[in-house]
Amino acid sequence: MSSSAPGGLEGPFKFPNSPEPQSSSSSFVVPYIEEERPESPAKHGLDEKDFEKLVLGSDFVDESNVDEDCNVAQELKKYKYNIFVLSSAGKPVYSRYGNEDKLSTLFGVMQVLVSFIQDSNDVLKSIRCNGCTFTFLSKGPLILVSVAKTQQSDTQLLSQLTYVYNQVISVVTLSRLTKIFEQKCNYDLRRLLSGSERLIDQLLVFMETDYAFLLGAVRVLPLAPTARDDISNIIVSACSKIKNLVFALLIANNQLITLVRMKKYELQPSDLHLLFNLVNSSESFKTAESWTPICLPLFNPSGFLHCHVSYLSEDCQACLMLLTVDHDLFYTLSTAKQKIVETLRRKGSLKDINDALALKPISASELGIYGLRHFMCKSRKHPQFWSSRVDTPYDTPEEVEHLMSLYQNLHQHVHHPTRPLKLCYQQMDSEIMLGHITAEYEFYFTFEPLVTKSDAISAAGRLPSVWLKDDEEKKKFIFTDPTF
Amino acid sequence: MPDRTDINIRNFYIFNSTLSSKEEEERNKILFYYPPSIIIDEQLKNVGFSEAILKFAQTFSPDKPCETIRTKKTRQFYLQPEENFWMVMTLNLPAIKPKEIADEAEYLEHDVQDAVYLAALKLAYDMAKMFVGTFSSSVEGKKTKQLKIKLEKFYFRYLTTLKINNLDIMALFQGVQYLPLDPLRFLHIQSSSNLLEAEFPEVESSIILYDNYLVWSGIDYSEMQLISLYVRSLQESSHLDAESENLGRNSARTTNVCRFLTGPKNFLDEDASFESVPVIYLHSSESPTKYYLNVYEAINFTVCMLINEKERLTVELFKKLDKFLGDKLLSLSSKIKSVAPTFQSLQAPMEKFLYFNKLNLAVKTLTAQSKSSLSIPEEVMRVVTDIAVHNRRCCKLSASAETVVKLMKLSDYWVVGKMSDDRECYFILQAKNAALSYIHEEANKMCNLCLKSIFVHK
Repeated sequence: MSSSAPGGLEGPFKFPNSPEPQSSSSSFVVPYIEEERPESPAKHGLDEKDFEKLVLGSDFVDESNVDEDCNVAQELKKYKYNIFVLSSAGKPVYSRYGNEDKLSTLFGVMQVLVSFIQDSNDVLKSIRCNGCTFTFLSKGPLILVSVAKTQQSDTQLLSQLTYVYNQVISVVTLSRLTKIFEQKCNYDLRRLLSGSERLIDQLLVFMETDYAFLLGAVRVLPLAPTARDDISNIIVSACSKIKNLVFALLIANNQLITLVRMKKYELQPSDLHLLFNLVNSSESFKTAESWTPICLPLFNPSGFLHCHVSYLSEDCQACLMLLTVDHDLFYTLSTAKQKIVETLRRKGSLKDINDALALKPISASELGIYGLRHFMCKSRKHPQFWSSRVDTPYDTPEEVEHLMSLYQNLHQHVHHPTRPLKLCYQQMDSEIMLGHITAEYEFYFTFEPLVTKSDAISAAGRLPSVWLKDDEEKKKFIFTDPTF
Repeated sequence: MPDRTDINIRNFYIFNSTLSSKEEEERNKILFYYPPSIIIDEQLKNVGFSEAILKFAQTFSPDKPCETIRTKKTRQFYLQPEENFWMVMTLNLPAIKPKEIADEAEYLEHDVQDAVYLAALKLAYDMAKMFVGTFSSSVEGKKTKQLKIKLEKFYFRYLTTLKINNLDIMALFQGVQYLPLDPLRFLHIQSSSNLLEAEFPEVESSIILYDNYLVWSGIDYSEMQLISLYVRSLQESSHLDAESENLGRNSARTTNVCRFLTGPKNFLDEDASFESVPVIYLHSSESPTKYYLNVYEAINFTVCMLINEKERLTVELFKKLDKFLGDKLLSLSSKIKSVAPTFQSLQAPMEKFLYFNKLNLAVKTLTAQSKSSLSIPEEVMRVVTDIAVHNRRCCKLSASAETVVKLMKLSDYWVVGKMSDDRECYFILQAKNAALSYIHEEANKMCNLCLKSIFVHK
């Protein structure tokens, strides 16, 4: 299962055969001839008899290795957030924890539940009990299931499953996925995803820890507008002559520095998150420039883009991604990259970026607003956000998780699908949460619990004027929209 | 205009998997299934699905496997009222049917709030428990067949009268409105109740209501709540009957009639049967006891009397009770009329409030009891429920919580929800361009005005 991507460069996706993904899926015929994975003894896609068997009380475990499977199921209980991906025939594709083969019966049951509801021309969405939610997403040939012991809303949980689905699509493309399962409904997709599971692993951690997913926005590296414009212009001038270059973006530490795009095309936040995740998950990008195919599901679910990924230099850890539809462009882009780095260095932009990276985001306490612990601000026009540094008392992993759950709760009330709120103030035992939607921004605040309501209100009212003074606003959000 | 279909009950079933061990006896596990027109195979299939879901969910959440299942078109609610017994209620979601047949209907899943219907399902069980006893006691006594018959008799009627479309946050409370009285008047009523029990040793305890407000109860809160809910539904249906009988005549509630709501209609008939007197089970004492529930109505008063089932009901007893209560209530009513009902007189035109105390199940509300006079948009009422669910969750860990929200679409509306210990109150305010601090003050004012002597964390 090891071979190199074109150009002899190590990419994060290893295609066992010569990959020609740009030809999309039309010529793609499941060509893999490799040793079959041992079929697990359990059947997939249970028929009615199996269903009855389940109902009649046999457990969800193979009779052949009852003890082991019981242990596996026992193991699963302890995790807070689990994700399973299976084919619509019930074949395991991915499980966040535990070995999929050992969970094959569980996968079978999930498939049966989904198809039972499907038979009555309906769609299974979720099962909820006190403190635990099972969310189901049936999309094309895949079924995705999450088991979450959190208080998130169905909308939030579904959005996370959709991200996982998109991550799978970004590795194989939708058209290829559909084709494979049309030809062999019992196909073991793990062969194709092999090596990419860590992308899903990483994505799940990313979603649990970064507010970007909750808010549906990207974090921006604060930079003076002139410095940012310089960088954009340098990229534009180096790349404007290159045909078929669709997007160029520069990111650092999960923050966007700039995005240059072809006039016709736009990049959605969720596609951007997948690109961020790609960079996060691959240490190898740091050592060599890479050439990797990636499908951006919202941009085009049925085809690959080719992505030239490289860090700017040893002394500047920003990552440049150049995305094209042309699979022969590696050397052209490599040359362009050299040019970009040289110019950035000459004009002092590398220093600007390094300075900005060295500057930790301010914490709420530094703003001198009484009782304010943390806050976030999202632009409503541009899908971008900024958040203060997470500070005491949120300095243990449990506390950080607690803060995330508070924001998830606040967000689900404010952005209720049918009963959205303009303002939401929640006084609780250990915090006061406040969400406020204005014409241009969404604000989310965390206060000390003993702050009076009027103090909290006045702080929330004053903060935008303190913190979003003209210059500051332009530093923290990108309002320009450079194109090739 | 696209058609809107309302929420309705798709099915409602009660099962106990331990009741069928062999394949051929499978149908034994179903104790009740509604609608009855569904063939047994289909019933078994649906029950089987529920069993599979429970088993699956148990893998991850062993103690409380399932409360709701959401599908695109339905919502299913689960309750395990007793060990091994499961009650399942499936609702068809309200939907907007498309103009073109080819288009898909839009299902309004967010209009159905889990907490409301889980409370309704719980109430459906509590009522059944009062009228047929606990399920397990029947099964243990080898009376499963009788239990099935009783459940059928009870639930067919219950489900057809259940106004599933009109449920809102009040279903969460299922509370009782207390009549605020000064001590002297209250003592008058209490002594009447004592006198009743002294004169008629058959009457073990009694509940006195005035205009649906509770004045006196001699039994456990939760059972008083069930009885008063039952009596209200009894009154509603009997008034409906009366209205249809008196069609054309002025059918306004004739308040001067003194009569038994349950019991013989005609005292001249010595052999009158007492079938219309319901027998209920009360479970608050150590062993469940069966009582006759006698309900007597006179001049806005309703008196519920509990007579042990071991006593023999006679026409003579009813005659005496009629005489006693008729005289007593007449004199009481003149004393009470001047004070009740007090809430409508409060000056609060723009604001509405709701108060609920879980400990004594007291509800106070300005939002009027009847839906028609409730001028609050449904969306606002749903936000109140959202807040109630959130506050209750917070209060599992702490003493108090408060939530204030301003709606986006109906942007004049603010809702304030406060919870402290087991007391909850909600204020609905309508104010254009108001600031949160103003709302805060208004809510405090309301709090002082309406809930004077009740402690609420500020």
